Amino acid sequence: MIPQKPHLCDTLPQAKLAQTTSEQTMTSENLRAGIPEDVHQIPAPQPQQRKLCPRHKRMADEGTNLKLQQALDALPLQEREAVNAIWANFSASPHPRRALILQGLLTMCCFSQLSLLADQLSHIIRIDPFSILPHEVSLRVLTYLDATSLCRAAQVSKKWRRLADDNILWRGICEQHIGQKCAKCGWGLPRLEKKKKPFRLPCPESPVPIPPSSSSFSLSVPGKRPCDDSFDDFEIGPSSKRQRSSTPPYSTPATPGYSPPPSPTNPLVQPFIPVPETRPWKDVYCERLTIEKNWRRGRCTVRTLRGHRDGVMCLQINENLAHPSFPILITGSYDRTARVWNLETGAQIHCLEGHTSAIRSLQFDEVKLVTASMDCSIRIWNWRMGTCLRVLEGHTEGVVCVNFDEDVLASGSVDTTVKIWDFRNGGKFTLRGHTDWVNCVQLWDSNSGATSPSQTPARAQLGASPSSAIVGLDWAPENQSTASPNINRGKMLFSASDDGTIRLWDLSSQTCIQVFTGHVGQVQTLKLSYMERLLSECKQKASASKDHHDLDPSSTSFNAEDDEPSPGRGPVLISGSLDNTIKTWDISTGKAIKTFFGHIEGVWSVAADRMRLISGSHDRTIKIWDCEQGRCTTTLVGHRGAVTCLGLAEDKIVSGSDDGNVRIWSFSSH
Amino acid sequence: MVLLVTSDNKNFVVDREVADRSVFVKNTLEARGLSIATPPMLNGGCFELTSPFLQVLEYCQHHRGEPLPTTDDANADENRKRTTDIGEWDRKFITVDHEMLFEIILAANYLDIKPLLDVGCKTIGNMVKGKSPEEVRKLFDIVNDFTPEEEAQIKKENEWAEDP
Repeated sequence: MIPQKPHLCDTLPQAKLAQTTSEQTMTSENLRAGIPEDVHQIPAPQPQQRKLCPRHKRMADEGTNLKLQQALDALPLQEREAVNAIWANFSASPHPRRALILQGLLTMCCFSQLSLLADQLSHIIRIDPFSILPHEVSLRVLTYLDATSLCRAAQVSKKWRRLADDNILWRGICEQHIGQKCAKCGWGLPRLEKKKKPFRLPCPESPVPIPPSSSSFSLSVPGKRPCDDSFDDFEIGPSSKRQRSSTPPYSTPATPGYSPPPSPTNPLVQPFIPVPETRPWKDVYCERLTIEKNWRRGRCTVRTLRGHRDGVMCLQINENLAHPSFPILITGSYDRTARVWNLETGAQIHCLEGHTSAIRSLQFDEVKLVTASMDCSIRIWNWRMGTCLRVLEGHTEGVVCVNFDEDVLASGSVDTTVKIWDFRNGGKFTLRGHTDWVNCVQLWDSNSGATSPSQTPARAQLGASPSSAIVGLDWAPENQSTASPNINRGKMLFSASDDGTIRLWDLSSQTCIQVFTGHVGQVQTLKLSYMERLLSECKQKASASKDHHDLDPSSTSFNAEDDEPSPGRGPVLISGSLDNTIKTWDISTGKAIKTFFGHIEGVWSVAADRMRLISGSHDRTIKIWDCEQGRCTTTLVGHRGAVTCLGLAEDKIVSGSDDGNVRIWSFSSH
Repeated sequence: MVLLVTSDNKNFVVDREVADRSVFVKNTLEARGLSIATPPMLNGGCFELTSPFLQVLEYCQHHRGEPLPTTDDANADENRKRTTDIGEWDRKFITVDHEMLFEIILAANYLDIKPLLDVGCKTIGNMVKGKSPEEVRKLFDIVNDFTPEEEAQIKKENEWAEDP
């Protein structure tokens, strides 16, 4: 691309002096004259091997010289000779002499000539950087561009387009934004982890014959969004670029690894079919950005799941189950049932009956489902089979909330107590302190800094074999219990109550170590969340977190060893209350960080991920909040009753309501 | 002191510390154990060699003695990406016409002076940032070689990025 020697690219000094002029000026010297407005002989016998520099190539292409030629030809012969002599002379000069000649010419110029120069120079001195920089340096330049500028750069010229659409470049953009907030622009894009799931329909334009037996399958729903790939397994194929424009890179029946799904006797039993996929990173970014924009504008499509015959009180979704391949939703209702749904198709898979009163709370993992009911009992189910494994009794009044992790189950009740059930040895104990209903319990392992596995189902041995582990356990009445609970140091529990407070308990010492006061109404709901803006700090402090959170069990002050309380450490506690507000709390100090105002009636439910906070209220709306600014960005309306429970995924909200319906608000691109 | 000879046979005598800003020169010197490096062949074209090289030397003079980026910094470098801030001195230094800018970049690339290469690339990036395709074409005098159909198609393909 770059000429090796300066003079090689001198163009066309074919000063086509009139035929009458001395032919001896047409020497090879002439061929090397390189002054800007050199004249190209019209027939233009291009020297074969000559490599032109970008500028002279341009001129040759554009016929700049033609005009000059004509102007020259219009002159009387004598003048033609004079002009040509000057040009030839200049052309034959090495760089230093050219500079000297130009300096001299400049001193002779009047303003009119100078302004001609200035005018011309401003135009001709411009060079396309990518025509002279090596490929890798050009790409380096483009790494400093944001996505929008890159998209514009792709429209400049063919060369620019090839560079600006470079797959590695876009991979960098994706890495910067997907699954985290970009430090520079503040945008974070969804990871769409569920898209690891095997097989989806290709683009609508390449219809796939659907095996009739699979028509009820989520996999084969026609018209579904084109398949996605997970960020993590994404493969960069050198050939993947622009593949989209020709053949869709998605699976088709010809895709290796695809076979028609087996006959769906039980939709939960289904083989995992991995399908390799590659797509340009630019497409991936575009798709994720579209989803994020939909979030920010509250643009979504809504689907309603009907089935419950009374208000829906609790729900959980899980899109990341190893099996089955579709996302699962489980809901609990005043109609005394819990229902298992295929979240993708909206089909109800199981209806679990057994409780004799409303189901107020539930949680499930890979295998088991735990439900809390106003009939004073807790039930443990195998939700895949739809069978009840056992019933836990102990609370003297209705059970309002449950939360479990690998080791323990926590439950809160109308009887104002919290009970801890030790999965490992059948131990059990009661926490007393609240003076009214306990509406929400949330476990927190302060050692790992992780929230309870409701978001990230751990495959503990319990999950693997629930029947033997749980059914075999004998939770005797407390006073007769032989097994003493053996709670790991650092295991904590938050509880929220109608008494308006939130309490933090150290389970290993069975003591309350912090009371969070501030709400002026009943506290209905709690969530632990790692806000995105805190994430990097959390990572940095991961090693130090032990020092911060490995509390002395006897210490009654949580922050006894904490001399610099900071909201940027560990998770943030989020609470929703019937005082119409949502609060975020600094766990280490027990102080409220922020209060979110906007709902006009009580808040029943909150959910949060790294990107956003959402809330459901008695005012029948769902609000999406910008956590940093503490303001509501979108209000979703549609439920005909209070919104009692929420599930949040990267591209959707699932809400349950007193109206008995479940709504799925999807922000995917459509 | 080190003698540097450019491919157009200009000699430059500089401090070793200055010459070491160029990883290329540094490695060459270390490998041979000599204090004379063979000429760094700068790209010529119809561009001049000496003045860009003088500029590069000026940059190296200014930044002499600063720690060289190591390969360990590759990750930190990733983080810096798209951080287009340029230091005060560097910004003034790099405020030159296009030709000189590109020549300096080429030289920095060849001589392996990464910080200078970064400054140069960022500068071009900043010129392009926020400009419409037509403005970029104008800025660098680039011919739109798309057919109208192609142009419409590509515009459509990239429309999503304009949507605020």
